[in-house]
Amino acid sequence: MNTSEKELYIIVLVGFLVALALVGFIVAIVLLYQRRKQNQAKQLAELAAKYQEEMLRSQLEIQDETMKSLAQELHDNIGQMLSVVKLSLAILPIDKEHPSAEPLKVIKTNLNQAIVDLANLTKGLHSERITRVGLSESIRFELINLEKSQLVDVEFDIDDDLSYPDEKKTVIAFRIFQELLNNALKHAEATKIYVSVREIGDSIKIVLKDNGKGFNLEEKQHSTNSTAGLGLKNLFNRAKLIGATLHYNTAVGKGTEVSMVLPY
Amino acid sequence: MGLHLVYIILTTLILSLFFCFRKKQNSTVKFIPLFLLFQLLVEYYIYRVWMNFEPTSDIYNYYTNISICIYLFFISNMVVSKLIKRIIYAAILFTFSTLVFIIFDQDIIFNIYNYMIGALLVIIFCIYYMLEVFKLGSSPNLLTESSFWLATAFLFVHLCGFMLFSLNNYFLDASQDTITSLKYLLSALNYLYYMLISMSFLCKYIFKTY
Repeated sequence: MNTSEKELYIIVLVGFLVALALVGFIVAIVLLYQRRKQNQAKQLAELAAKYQEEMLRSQLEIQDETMKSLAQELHDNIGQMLSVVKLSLAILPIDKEHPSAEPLKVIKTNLNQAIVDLANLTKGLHSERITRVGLSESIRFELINLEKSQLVDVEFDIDDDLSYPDEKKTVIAFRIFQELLNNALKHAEATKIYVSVREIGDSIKIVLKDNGKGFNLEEKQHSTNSTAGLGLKNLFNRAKLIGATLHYNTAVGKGTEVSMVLPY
Repeated sequence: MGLHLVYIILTTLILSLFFCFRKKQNSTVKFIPLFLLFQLLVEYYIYRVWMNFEPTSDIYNYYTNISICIYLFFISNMVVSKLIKRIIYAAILFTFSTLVFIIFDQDIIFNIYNYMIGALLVIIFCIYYMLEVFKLGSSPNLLTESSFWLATAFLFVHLCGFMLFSLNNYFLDASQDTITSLKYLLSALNYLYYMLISMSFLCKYIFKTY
C-alpha cells in the first residue's frame, strides 16, 4: 500500500466511522425524543384521569352531603311536625259517635303511612345508615319499599349479610344501584323488576333486570348530543371509581339487564 | 460484489417472504421482497460477469440509478407531507431520466456523480422523514415501526457508503492489500444494511407494541 493509497483508505475508513456515528446519533436522538414525548403524553393522560377521578369524587361527596342534610332536615323538621300533628290528633276529644270520627281515623292512617314513608325515605338518603346496615340490606330495604309502593312488580334474590369492606365504596355502590333502579322506573317504564345480589368468588355481583323498553347502548354512548348518555357515562365513571365493572345487555323493545361486579 | 453478498441477500429475501405478507405489516413492507429479488438477481449477474473477468462498472451504473429510484419510492411511501411526496416523485423522475446519460456515456468507470446526487437525495429525504417523526411522534413505539428501520437502513448505507463509493474510481489500480481492506469495509456495510432491512419486517415480532 503506497502513501497516497493509504491516505485515501484512511479517509474512507474515517468517513465511514464518522458517518456511522452520525447515523447512530440521529437515530438515538429521534428515538429518545420520541420516547420522551410519549412519556409526556402518558403523564398528561394520567393527570387528566386523576383530575377526572378527583372531580367525580368531590361531586359524589357533595351529593352525599346534600342527601345527608336533606335526610336530617326531613327527620328533624318534617318528621317532628308530623309527629306533633299525630299527637295533636290523638288527644282530640272526639268519641266514636262523633260525625268526624270516621274521617279522622282515615286521616290518622294516612298520617301514619306518611310518617313511615318519610322515615324510609330518610333511611335511603342517609349514607351513614347504608354503611351501618351494609350493601345487601340497603338494597333489600330499597326493594321492599318499592314493592310497597305498588309501582312495579318486584322480585329479588339477595344473599344475606353481604358485607363490602370499604364504607365509601358501599355508599357509591348503593347510589349506583339506586340510579339503575331509577332508570328502570323513569326511562325504561318497566312493570317488572328482578334483582339478584350474590357473592361470586371474591366479588359481589348485582344483577338488575327489567321488562322495560330497552335502548341502543352503542347509540347512547356515542351520541353527539351533549346531554344524551350523560347519566350512563356518569354511572360508568362512578363504577370505575370504586373498581367495579358495569355490563349492559339491552336492545330496543327487549328490556334491560345490568350487571355490576364489585371486587372486594 | 462476491458470492457472500448474494447469500446475505438470499437469506434476507427468504426471511422477507415469510414475514412481509403477514396481516400486521404495512403496505410499504410488502414491496421489500420484490426489491430484494431485484438486488439478488443483479448481484448474482454481476458476480457471474466478475468471475469472467469482465468489467462490471456499467452494470453498477444502471443498478445504482434504478436502486436510488426504488429507495426514493420507499421513502415517498414513508413520509406524510404531500408536498415532500411530490418532490420525491420529481426526484425519482429526475434520477430515472439520468439513465439516458449513462446509456450514452462511453466511459466504463463507475459514475460517481450519479451516485453522489442519488445518495444525497436519499440522505436528505431520510433526514426529512426523521424530522417528521420528531415533529409528529404519532407512533407509540418507534422500534416497532417498519418505516423507521427502513429509513435508518437507507440513511446508514448511503451515509457510510458515501466516501467508499464516491472515491471508488481512485481505487481502480489499488494494491491487493487496499482492495482486501475495502472489501472488509464493504462487507461490514452490507451485513449491517441487510440486518437493518430485516429489522424493518421483523421489528413487529421482536419489539413489544404498546
